[in-house]
Amino acid sequence: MSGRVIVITSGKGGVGKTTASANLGVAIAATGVSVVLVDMDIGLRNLDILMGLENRVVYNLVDVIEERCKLRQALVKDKRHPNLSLLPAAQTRDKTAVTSDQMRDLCEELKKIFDFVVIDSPAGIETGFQNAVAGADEAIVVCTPEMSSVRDADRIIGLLEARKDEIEQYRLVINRYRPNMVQANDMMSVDDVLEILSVQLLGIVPEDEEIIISTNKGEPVSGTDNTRSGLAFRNIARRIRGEDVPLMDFDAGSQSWINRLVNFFNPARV
Amino acid sequence: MSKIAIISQPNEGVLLDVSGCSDLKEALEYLSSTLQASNSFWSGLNVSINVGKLSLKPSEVAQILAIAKGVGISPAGVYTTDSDTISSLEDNGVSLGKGAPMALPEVSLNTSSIEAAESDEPEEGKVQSAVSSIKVRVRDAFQAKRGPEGGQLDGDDDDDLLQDRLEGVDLATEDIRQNEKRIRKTIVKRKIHITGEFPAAEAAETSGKAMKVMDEEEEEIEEAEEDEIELDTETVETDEEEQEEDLEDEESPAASNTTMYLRQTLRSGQTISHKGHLIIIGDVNPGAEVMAEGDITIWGSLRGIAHAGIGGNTDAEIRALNLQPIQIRIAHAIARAPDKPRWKYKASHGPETARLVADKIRVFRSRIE
Repeated sequence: MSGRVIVITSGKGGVGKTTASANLGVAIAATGVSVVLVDMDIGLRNLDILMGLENRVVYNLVDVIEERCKLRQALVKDKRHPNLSLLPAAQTRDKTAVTSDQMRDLCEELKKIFDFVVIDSPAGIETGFQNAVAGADEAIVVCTPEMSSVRDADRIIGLLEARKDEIEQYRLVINRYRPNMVQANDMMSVDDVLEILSVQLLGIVPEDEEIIISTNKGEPVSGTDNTRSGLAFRNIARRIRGEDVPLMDFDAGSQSWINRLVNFFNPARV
Repeated sequence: MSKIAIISQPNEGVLLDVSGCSDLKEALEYLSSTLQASNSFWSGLNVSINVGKLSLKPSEVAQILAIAKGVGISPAGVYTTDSDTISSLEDNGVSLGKGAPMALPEVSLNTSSIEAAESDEPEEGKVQSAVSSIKVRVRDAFQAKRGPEGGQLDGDDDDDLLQDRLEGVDLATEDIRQNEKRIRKTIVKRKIHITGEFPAAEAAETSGKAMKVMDEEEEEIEEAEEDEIELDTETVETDEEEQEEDLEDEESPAASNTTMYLRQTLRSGQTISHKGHLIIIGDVNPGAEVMAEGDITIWGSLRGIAHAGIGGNTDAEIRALNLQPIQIRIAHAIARAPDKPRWKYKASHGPETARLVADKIRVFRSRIE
């Protein structure tokens, strides 16, 4: 049984593709299957930093494609999760270093070894994006509930629709969601986003300061138990694996009285 | 047998015939949608209703009467062939229709006249050469756009796109290789239309047959030269099954007799431009652009940019079920949406039409003239 190749893309930069890739990789690996994370942001690699593995990178994706090393030599095993590996990008090259056909072949090879291949796409719609989706079977579009992000996601979905025969399904993750702002009508709600994008919703990840902390520490939040965003990513991972998980309750009013008291004194938390 | 028929005769008033509906729910649906589409039309008319063999309880008759009352109709009589319904009508104080209900007029078609019309259509040769001209232009445009690496575009192509637009062929998609298959099917659809197999449903069914014909004639098409007939309609990333276009004849340049009919949603970054009327069944998302020489009709939400009457036609209109555009342009005039929360995308005012009135774009709630 060959693996599933999922590309995580968005169009707009900074919405949380790399964060989502790292966290979903960890969460899917925690369900018991083997996962490889592929960083396609050649020249501006970040996935190794988020995973905390930047010290262990010896070879990278471009070395594999140009056959300076074997695939196994380039894969970095994660320090906390035994069935998770990382294929880092090159920092000193740029996106023209690989072509779509080379990516397709690489994904075919990876599919044979791993159950899940999670590809972190760079921002934009040009070569970087095209290379990232070349080998993929499924796509996850990440967007934040903002006009600019939604418009770029719409563009990306249009491009994914045009590749109907390669990309079998694409679903949406809404990232950095702030229920308080939505209730105050200052932010687009889930319905507003879906009204334009009209795609299947995979999950919603709330805004969480823990993400910033986790990036700097190199420990994705979905590996630890005590964060809302971590729980959201774990739920999304379960949905990717086919489980039917209900959406988290984002109603701000449903918080316990202690939380509401804390929020009253410390409104920075969501 | 249609689900609802509106039959009117002088001195007899109007009959709303829902006897083709299979149950009360259907009848109510059709009644409400038909009546409410033009509610000022009905008041003052002598209206009767025919429910046929539907068996209705008193409460169900009351529902029908409520819908009628909502548009100002007090039915002069209700026709029915079911005894339970008769007693329900009595309970509601509605009189039975007198005599027999009006029926749709008998129509007999002279099929010989249809055959004669077919021979007036453009000959096969013209269709084939039009087909080849599209293929040649697509291929040329693809060659022009192919970068050194092959098949990749970057921002320098704006000039090429503009030039193509001026020539009337705007290949709005950036990866033309993926569109060739789609364009072949488009050509097939065009062929179907020429031989008169409208409407849309029939065309979709016969497309399989026509594809085989297409393959046989492919050799001839490859060799046919470019002819005077230019195809001025554009293609876009579309759902293959659902696109139909008319053939624009060079001899009759009037734009209004060709209409592009598209059944899909336009996403951000997609553009359509057509020299004629344009109908889109679907939404136009923000970031998408729609341009036409004639009217633009969107059966959905317009949230992008629409430009009607681009040839200078100030009579052009833009209409949509939900008009929330970024900009509306008719001929030379531009209007923008009022400043308010921009992301409230749910439908607000219902169907609206934008027209040019004394050089300004005004928006009207849709009504029947």
